[in-house]
Amino acid sequence: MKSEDAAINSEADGKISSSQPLSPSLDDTLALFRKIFSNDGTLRIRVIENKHSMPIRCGLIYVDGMIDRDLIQNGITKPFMAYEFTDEESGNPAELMEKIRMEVINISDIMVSTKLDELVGAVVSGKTVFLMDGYAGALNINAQGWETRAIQEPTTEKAVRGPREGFTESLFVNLTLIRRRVQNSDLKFVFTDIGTRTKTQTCICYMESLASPDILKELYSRLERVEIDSILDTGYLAELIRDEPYSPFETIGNTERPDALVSKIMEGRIAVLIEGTPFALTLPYVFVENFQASEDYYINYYFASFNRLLRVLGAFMSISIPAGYVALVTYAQEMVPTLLLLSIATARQSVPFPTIVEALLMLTIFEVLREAGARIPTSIGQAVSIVGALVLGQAAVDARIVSAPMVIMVGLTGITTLLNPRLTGPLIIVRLALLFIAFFLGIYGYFFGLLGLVIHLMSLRSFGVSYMLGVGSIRPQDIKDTAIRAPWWDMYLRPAMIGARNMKRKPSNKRAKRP
Amino acid sequence: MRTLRRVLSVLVSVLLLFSISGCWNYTEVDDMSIVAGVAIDKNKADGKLLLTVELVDTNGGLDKTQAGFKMISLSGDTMFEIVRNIISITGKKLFWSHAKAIIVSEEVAREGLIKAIDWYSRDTETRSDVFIFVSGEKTAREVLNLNSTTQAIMSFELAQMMRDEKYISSAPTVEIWDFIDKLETLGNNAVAPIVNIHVKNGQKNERVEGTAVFVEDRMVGKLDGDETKSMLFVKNLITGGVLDIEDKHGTPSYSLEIISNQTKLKPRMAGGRLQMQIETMTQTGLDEVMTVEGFMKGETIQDIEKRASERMEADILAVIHKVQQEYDADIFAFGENVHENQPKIWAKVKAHWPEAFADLDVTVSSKVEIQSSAKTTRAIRLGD
Repeated sequence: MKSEDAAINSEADGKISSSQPLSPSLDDTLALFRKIFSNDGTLRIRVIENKHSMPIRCGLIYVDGMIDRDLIQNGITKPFMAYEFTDEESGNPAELMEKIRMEVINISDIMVSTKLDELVGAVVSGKTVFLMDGYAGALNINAQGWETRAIQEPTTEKAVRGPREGFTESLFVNLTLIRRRVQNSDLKFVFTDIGTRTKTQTCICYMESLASPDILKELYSRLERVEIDSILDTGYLAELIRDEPYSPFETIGNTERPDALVSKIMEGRIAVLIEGTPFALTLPYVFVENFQASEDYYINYYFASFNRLLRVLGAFMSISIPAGYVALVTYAQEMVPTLLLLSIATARQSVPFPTIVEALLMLTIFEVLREAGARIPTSIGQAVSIVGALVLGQAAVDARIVSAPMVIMVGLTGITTLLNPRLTGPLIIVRLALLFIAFFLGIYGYFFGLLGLVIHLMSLRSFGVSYMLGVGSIRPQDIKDTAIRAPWWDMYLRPAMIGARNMKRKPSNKRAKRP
Repeated sequence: MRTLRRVLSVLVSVLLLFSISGCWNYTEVDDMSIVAGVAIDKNKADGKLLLTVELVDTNGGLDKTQAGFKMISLSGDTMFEIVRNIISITGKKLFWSHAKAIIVSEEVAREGLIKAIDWYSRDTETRSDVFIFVSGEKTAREVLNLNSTTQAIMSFELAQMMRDEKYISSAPTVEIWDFIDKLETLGNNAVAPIVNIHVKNGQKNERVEGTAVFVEDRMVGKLDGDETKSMLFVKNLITGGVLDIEDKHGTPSYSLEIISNQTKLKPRMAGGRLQMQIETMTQTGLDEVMTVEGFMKGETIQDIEKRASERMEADILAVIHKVQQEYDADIFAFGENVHENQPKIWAKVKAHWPEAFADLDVTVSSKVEIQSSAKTTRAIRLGD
């Protein structure tokens, strides 16, 4: 009993000593489990007996809701109770256990375990522990089964053309989605758990022949250094292991689409998935990936390139419009075309606020509407847009609280931000910074701000890979998947540095020949 | 320690940024009076400068689609004094960057333009690409004030006219930097377009036609629209316009649309005299034939070309002689051309160029080519 107390005490600290031996007495072991799982109403302990020769008492331990009842009934309890054991077999517990494992229980995934901490871990992860009276060991049977959300189209990355499957909260369903797309033993899934208390299952997924061993090593070492008690989304992990923790720009990508994830793996990237979230991390992540949508690769490349250029332009406009407008209207009026200046001047008559206050006011209102629209139930979403467009737009102009050109500028800013859902956060911050510097220093300040932004972006790294990979390069292969998307027959190399281990995607430049 | 140093250096850089900024202090657009154009007259009463500024009226509000204007006149001793004093009338600082036109009265122009335009070219807020005009009327401000009924901004209309002048070629297009540049160059005299009020059927319109000829900064005479066109031919500034040509009976009946023109000036020493050979090569299109029989029956293309060439040679010679004899102003930039092409000769004549210009021997050989006859080769047939 003394050792039992020690086990329970250490359990209170969230740890079980692995040296804790298992007692051969079924009742003792069950009592120990009851103590470990005290105040846990979901623990189920079932004692079953086989009485064909001499009574064999066994115990099943599992957590309700995480097992497949039918499987336990048909795979464990029914065959065990019906099996006719001979006397000799019943005499030797070790042989008996082996026989039960090999011949009685018809569930594919069974492991033998004699360690208490392993068994407790198995129970909490939804496995079923099979104990036998008189034997200091247990079977660890995988009869997991729980409700998962159905595979649905991902809402954050919609595509008109392309696969409609999205990841779910279940790690194994997600791995299935990946495996189905890559039927190759080269695809590796390495498991680990993160979170000292949640023990969240984490899977690192990569192509062995493509992923850079250096980046992989770096990833493992960063994951090892993570010390956090719980991980509920990959967002936790991304912030904990990313480079440049103070930059507003993401240096680790995330995706909800299995097809996007596989395409990144195929470029030599590494993916990290965790149990409980449909968002997988991909790394290294470079700046141009912010502008890429998976649909780009499925549709005509002219159209895809056009869309990409629009997104780049949109990001630029979204940070530049308020700053540029304020700089032009308050400092460099001589640079505004005459008629435009006149109409701005006419519209600004009797507006009580300076341009900068106007700009900040409208931008704040826009962000409030955006955030409100994102948080409230969809059924009220319409009301927000009506309030935003009518009340705050039209009425504010009519009441001369803001000028009409400013409403146009803020509207343009907002709509161009929506072009790049991945960049929303950074764009807002950069936009405000540029707006302030443009207000204090005019066009000059705006350009210095842009310069600073470029310097910052150029200095970023993602797992040793330059964030602005390919920007400024004049090698044709480096720019084939950046602001434009070259046709597939021409993208015969993987991205530099990321796919350095095996650059060739296909024989160079072979396109379809005319018959 | 390293972090501290980095933070400090960033802070210092940001602070330095403020000190090297070009334009401190922002201005709201509604806090300034946008100047569209300016007229410079001489005040009859005291002989001082009288400045009339055309300001864009932005008080129209949302319902008005077109900005109006208002006129403010003030006299004073110097331009800048007047410009600053106008603030006491408008209440807002004048904003000069969008001004499009300067109109000076003939009186001011004949007395010398330096006093009127020096401030304009020197000041930091004014632009040197503003168009300059000489008023053909008594005062400059009556031209600027012409549109008081239609509320259209005169200066913007004048600027638009200058942009379309290339299709007429009846007035030179002169921006103030160009004007000042010519004032400073020996062997090149300045010109400016003349703006008139054109009255027909009781309607008053502004009309830009003709050239004011300057010697140094003083206006000495005028050229009319046709003479201006000949002058522009010599200066190789023709980009469009119309040549009207008589038929063999002497009645004007053909219009040639100028498609392109190339003029070459060749200064030569001929018989101890400096001679300027002018060769023009004009591509045209026959765009109008005012005869019933059409041009192929009446005359050949070659006939028309020949007559046009002769006519042009005569016109050009006439205007050069007029300028040589009456004004003695080298508005054709002959001197500059001699300087560029015959520097040795220029060294000799430089000292007494005005006299040398008046004495210059000029030969003109023009070639007019008709490339096409527009959409048709035939005349309009008269049915019964």
